[in-house]
Amino acid sequence: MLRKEFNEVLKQSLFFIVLTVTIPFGLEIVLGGPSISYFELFFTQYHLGLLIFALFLGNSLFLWDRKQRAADYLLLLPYSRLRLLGIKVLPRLTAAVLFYLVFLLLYRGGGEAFTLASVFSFTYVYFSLFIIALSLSLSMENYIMMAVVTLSAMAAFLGMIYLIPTLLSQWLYGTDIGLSLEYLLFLRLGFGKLLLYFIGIVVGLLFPFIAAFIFAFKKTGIHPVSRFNKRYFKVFFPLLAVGIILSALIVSTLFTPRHKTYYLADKHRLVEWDSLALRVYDENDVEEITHASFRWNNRVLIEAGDSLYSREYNFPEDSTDFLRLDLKTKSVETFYKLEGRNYSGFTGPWLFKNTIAIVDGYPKDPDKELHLIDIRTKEVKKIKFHQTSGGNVRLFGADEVDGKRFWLVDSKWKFRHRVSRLWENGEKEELGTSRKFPCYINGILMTYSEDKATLTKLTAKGMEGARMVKTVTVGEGFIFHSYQVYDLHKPPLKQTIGAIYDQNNESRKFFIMDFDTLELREMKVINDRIEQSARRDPELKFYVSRRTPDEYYYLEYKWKNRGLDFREIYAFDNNELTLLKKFPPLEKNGKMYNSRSGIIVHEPGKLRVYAFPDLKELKFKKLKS
Amino acid sequence: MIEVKDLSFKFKKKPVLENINIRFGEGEFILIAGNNGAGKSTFLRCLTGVLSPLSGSVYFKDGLSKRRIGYIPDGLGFFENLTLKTAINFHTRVFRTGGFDDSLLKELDLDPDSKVKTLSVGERTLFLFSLILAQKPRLLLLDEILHAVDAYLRDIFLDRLLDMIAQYNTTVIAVNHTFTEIEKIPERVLVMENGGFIIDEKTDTLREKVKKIELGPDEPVPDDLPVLFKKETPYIREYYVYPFEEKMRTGFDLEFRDLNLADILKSFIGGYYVKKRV
Amino acid sequence: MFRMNIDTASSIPVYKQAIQAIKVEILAGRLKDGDSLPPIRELAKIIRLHPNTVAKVYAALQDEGFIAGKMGSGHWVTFKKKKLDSLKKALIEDEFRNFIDRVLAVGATKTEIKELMEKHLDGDHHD
Repeated sequence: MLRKEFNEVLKQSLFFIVLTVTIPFGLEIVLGGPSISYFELFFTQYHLGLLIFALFLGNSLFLWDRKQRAADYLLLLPYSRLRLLGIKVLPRLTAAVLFYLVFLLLYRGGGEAFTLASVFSFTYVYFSLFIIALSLSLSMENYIMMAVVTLSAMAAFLGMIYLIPTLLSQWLYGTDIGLSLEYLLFLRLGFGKLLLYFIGIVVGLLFPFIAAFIFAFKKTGIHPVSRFNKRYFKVFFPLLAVGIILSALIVSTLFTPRHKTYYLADKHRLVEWDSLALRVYDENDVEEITHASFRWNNRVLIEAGDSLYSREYNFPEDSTDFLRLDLKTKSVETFYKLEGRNYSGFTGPWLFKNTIAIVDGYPKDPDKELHLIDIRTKEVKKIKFHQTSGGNVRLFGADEVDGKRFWLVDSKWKFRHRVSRLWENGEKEELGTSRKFPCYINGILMTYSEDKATLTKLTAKGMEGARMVKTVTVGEGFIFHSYQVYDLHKPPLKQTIGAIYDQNNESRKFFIMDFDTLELREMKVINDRIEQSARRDPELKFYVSRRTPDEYYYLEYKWKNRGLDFREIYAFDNNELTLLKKFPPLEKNGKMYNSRSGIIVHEPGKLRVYAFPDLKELKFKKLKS
Repeated sequence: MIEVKDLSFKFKKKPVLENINIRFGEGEFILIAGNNGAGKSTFLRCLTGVLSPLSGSVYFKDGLSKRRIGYIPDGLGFFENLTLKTAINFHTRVFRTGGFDDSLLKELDLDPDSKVKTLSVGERTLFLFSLILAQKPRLLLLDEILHAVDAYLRDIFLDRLLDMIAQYNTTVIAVNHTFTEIEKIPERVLVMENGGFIIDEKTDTLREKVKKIELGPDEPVPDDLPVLFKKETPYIREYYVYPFEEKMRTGFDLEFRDLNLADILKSFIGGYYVKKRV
Repeated sequence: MFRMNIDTASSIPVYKQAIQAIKVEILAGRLKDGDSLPPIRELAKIIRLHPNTVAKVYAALQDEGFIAGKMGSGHWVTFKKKKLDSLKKALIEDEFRNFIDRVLAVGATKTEIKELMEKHLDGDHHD
């Protein structure tokens, strides 16, 4: 019997698809050519036709068996009711899946309207429609009424999927999310979690349809319809209630803004965000931002003036969005958008004077583009360049020589860093390779070979560019610290710091280099202290950081909860270490956040904020931990 | 072989079968008669599982499986768009009959490539029957299907039916087949009225219990005669008496005539209509 | 082959009428000793009786010694010549009684019956 059903469904499907796809398609061609490509037109018709197909396929489950005559034979076949249902459903399910797969294969050619998000929407709408249509296939005599009811049920179903999170978040958190489901979800939770959540809701709300149908069919067969419906609803409504409650529970657990993240910005402003809102605190007040355009990732990439910049993948629009939080106006805007996930650069965009630079291009793709955005005027300049070897690309410096600007590009390929300089007229100079991350400070490029660091002064125009200045033999593991790069447009630095890392990748010996003499000298006081502390507690790690050209800090810390756990922080001045703060070990679920402005200790139930330069504790009136 | 317990069925709040309790044994030939709408077809459908009862149940004993049950419904329901050949393959495979005897089809000169829906009523009935014969049925349920079949085909049908019974000792439950050719076959008769069985007797016993008297227009009718049904014309009045007892022959000075099964059943049905009018 | 006039409108059970009819054929000599009888299945089809009924008929005839049956070989007529006469006599009397009853029901008197008997027996009487 399965074979017979497959044959019938096959004939039905082909006929139907041909009908719903070629007729509108043909009409458009005849009426005078489409405004989009033929393929796009076909694909649009196809995916619309598919929806009608799903409706039809589901509703017609018992199309030829509904009359008493045929039902007499069908129901006396030596199959259990459940098996009979299976034999009927399987071919139709197969057809639905096959035609869907065709859709999936074609979607990329469907034009701009078809992003990943719309594919996702289509998928769950298509299959839900099919299932709902199936479950109503015995509820009515009249097929037109059946289609109408199916569509209504479908609308109600979609409404529920939208309403449950919206109403819940309103009720629980008083916030109006008001977004489409997948938009909401994809931006806040991990893909895996979201998928489970979504499947949970959809399945939870679809399950009543399936269960009611199976139950009613098992108990009643095909006739009489009134009794079938009675039994159907007897099961449907309770299960629906359960499904709604279950979905609400799933939503509420996932929407609980459990993870609050913090950032201390300049001028003692604290930024706090969770999955629902972002809040900016100053000493006396707080301002909350929850409007629709806000989606904040976990990391501030750049702080400049009163602006914080972050980056996030926008799932529904399939774009990489760069967001800017203005701490003065307390608003968030999408500062810049890149198409797709092809933002390249594993340390973030680069800020030089008033320009933010972003590299666009897939790691494996040698053709890349540098986007330069003026943060005041929002003007964009794009420079194409070619990366000879694949791999991740990052910007690590920029400078202006004789009125011309260049950007330094580090392309990592296997174990080498390829350093090149990109001028804004499109010219690209290769500046050699480095075994470790190169850095650029004060006009000097620092690259590395086995045990040497090479300092090269980058000068003027054209291909002449670089002039080697000095080679420093320090020993293996030495690297200059390349943080604080955003300050490079301020007056040039007088000194910089480098450190030797041992085999565990922990910095053990710190050096300071004067830019006048280019001599390295050991920071003895610090290194002695390190030796002492390391003996005392082998798990400790050490770092020297510079906040402003004149402020140095020496930090002792451990790793905890995939984050830093500071223990002691000293100010380093004139070869003297002064203890600023000693922190107790972080509690079990605690986390520490550090920025240029200070350190935040976040432990369950309490939040403490300490600001540089003296790490005094800040109090925020409106902050509840 | 079949036990029916408290079987009830309602359609749109109207009771169609009411609390039926009955048993059928192996090899029995049972005739179910009754007025239109008494619930006979519904009863058969509940036996086969086409309809699910509202309450109560049907038990098949002695390991009777659905594969050995044949059913010819009153609508002659089947997958009409199949060709005969496909239908035979389908049926024999699904019911795992292990073979098919096409002699009946040959006898009727049916084209195996024609579709089922092109067959006449009689041909279709016999075609369905031939499919069922392949099942070597232990139980056969026949709804009112022979009325529409012509006399010649009916004859062939009966031959094959008797063959089948002789071969497989099939239990047959037939609805309303009151043709004289078949009269001698059923040993048990059920009369259904308003969703229940008002009569459940051996045919021979029933023949002893129902008699007819004929009276002229002026002859008096005794009051205490249990009359089931009467048919009056200006010339003759026929009274069907049930339950008849032998002592009535002498008690009432009347001539009680024997009746054949068809007339007996007709009188029960007639009696129903009389009651309904009252 | 043999006349089986089974009266369905009679209160005599069908199987009894069938037994009687076969006996008549045997006693009248139309079925002779050694003649084979149709198999149950075939007889059932010929006279439109349930095979079980036919089986019952054959069994009864076997009990009374009119026929014999063996697995695989079917049934055949066996009768003893000496039994024939007494049975024949009983049968004839049976038929006769039926006849008398019917004629009396019509309203014939005993005298009329006797007169008619002589008339029809002496004169030509066709079956």
